[in-house]
Amino acid sequence: MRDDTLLSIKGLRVEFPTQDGPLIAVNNVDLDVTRGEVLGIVGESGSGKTVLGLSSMGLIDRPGRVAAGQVVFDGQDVTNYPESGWRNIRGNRIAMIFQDPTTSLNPVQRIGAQMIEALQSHRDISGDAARQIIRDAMVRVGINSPDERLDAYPHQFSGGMRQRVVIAIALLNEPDLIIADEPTTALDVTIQAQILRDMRRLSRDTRTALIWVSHDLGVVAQIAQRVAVMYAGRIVENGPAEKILKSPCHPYTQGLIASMPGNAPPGERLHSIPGGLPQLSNLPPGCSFAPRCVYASSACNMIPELIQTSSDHAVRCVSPLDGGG
Amino acid sequence: MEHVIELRSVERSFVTEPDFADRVASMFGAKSNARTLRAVDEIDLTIGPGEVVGLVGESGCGKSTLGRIVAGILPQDKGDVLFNGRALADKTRLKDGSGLGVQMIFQNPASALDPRQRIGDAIAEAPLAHRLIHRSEARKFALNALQRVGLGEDALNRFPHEFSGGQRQRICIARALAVDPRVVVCDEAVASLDVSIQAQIINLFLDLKQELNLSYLFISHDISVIQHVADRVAVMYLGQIVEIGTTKELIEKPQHPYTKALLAEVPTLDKTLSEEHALKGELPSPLNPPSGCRFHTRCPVATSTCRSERPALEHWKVDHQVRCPVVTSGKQSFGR
Repeated sequence: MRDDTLLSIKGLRVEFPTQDGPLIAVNNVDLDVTRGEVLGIVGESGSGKTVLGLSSMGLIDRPGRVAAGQVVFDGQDVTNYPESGWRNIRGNRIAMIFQDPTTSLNPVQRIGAQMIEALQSHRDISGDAARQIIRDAMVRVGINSPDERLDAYPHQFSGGMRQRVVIAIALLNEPDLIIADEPTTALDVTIQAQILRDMRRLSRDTRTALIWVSHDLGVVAQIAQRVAVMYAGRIVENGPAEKILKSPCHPYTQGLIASMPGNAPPGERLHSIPGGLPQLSNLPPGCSFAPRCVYASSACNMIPELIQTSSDHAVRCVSPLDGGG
Repeated sequence: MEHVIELRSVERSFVTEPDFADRVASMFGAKSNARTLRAVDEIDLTIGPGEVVGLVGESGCGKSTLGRIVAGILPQDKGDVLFNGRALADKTRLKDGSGLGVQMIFQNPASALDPRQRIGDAIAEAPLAHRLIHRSEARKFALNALQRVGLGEDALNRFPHEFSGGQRQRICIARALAVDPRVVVCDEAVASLDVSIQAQIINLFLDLKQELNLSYLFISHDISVIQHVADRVAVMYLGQIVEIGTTKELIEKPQHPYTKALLAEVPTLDKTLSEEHALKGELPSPLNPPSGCRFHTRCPVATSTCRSERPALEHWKVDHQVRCPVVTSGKQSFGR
């Protein structure tokens, strides 16, 4: 573990009981986030990327549970933290931004009141002082004339503006870490680009670490320094963004990038990964990706380890591609 | 080229429902303050046989409304919608079956299927209702339709919840094709799918187009999808087409300032977004669109005339039209 490691996840396993036995949403995940780093977590639906984000904030609700492993935040083991302990961390030292800003905001409370609440629940601060912090936070995310906006209700904002308010709230207590779960998926490309720019600038200026969860590789390429690719609850590849997106070593990452419509000549058949996503309650015995993998062999009947191919790049595959592609 | 679909100056507005206070006020003689939203305006569009026309724009620009008008689900207020040269709303078309020529596929396949209807029944329902097939051959017909979209016999007796999102979208495609349409309107048909599944469905659309010589109106907010499937692309802004041209031409040499900005904001693997916003401000409310050119409030090249005069869609090249006088007046020569 490096000195400036902020969040360290070791061997994390999150289970949800079902009629057919436990569903393992996050399976033996190791992940480190250093201060000021932007980590992209990429995966399709059911890959466990959202549950991983939630478990980093102690937000796994019963009957789900952390079955194994630990989450260490800033040197403290928070895996089995009591709810009272989490209250000091959540919204204060770790903030979260969700996909749909409409459901993150209270529809019957003015924006200003919601922001003051977020501040005063963590700090003993007067209303006037809180208002000043709020104004600054709103200007920082590109909301001009914040005074007029503070008395508005969420429905009076457009989708992009609402997401900016949510980001402003996340920034209020100057968190060390922001976990953003598909924060731009519900937005138009033009608004998405604005939010991406804002977040890129903010993480640079404030040295806030950022975990950016997304299914969209193009978006992750804009913001992340490091990328972890998840498939069926496991991290299958983890390394510098540039390297993973330009020359992936795992067949799944390679297939995912080749499936993007922009990466094939127009009108021709796209490369597509055969088959469908596996059901988490009924995973194949060996490598989860083997049934869809064109390179699969009998060696794939064992679950492969995450192997370091270089000091900063790890791949979970028995025969990783050389990444020359 | 004969057009399968032709739209001539199509217009459609929605009027806000008066709420209780408005109704009480109008009882006392107050002026109605119902607001009109012109969802699509001055739309001229053609789709040829076997052609894929892509429609892009931000949410609220009217692309779904236009798709529904083309599919005949929503009537237009003004203008003509012609299918093979005849009005789509022509009631006599129902008798000869040509009213089934345009079908639609929606974004969310889960809500497009009846959760309590078996897949085989769902596919055979429309052809049976329109007497295209006999009940005795329904099962065989449904099986053929399923095989065409890559599903097998075991799907026939199952229910929608037993399938994944990608498979459900395949079922919706089989269902739309069951009445042998010539045109399929795909409204964000791949938007809800995962990347690896999305590629499979896009391939299916391309294969079916080849096999059946289908035409598509392909609506998507994802420009890379449109770029891949479409022969021509129309860009919409606040209810109007602001630019239309062949895909290569429009993507490589966009002319309208809005198209340029929109393309600049698409995040891709090999491009880093510039630090500067390509578009200033927010999308104006379609309830109260700007005067003159609707884009002038956010346009980097707007002049004073843009504020007052409504521009028309003009030719920039033979296959490329732009609704921007600043661009079209500055052109060197008409033609190739």
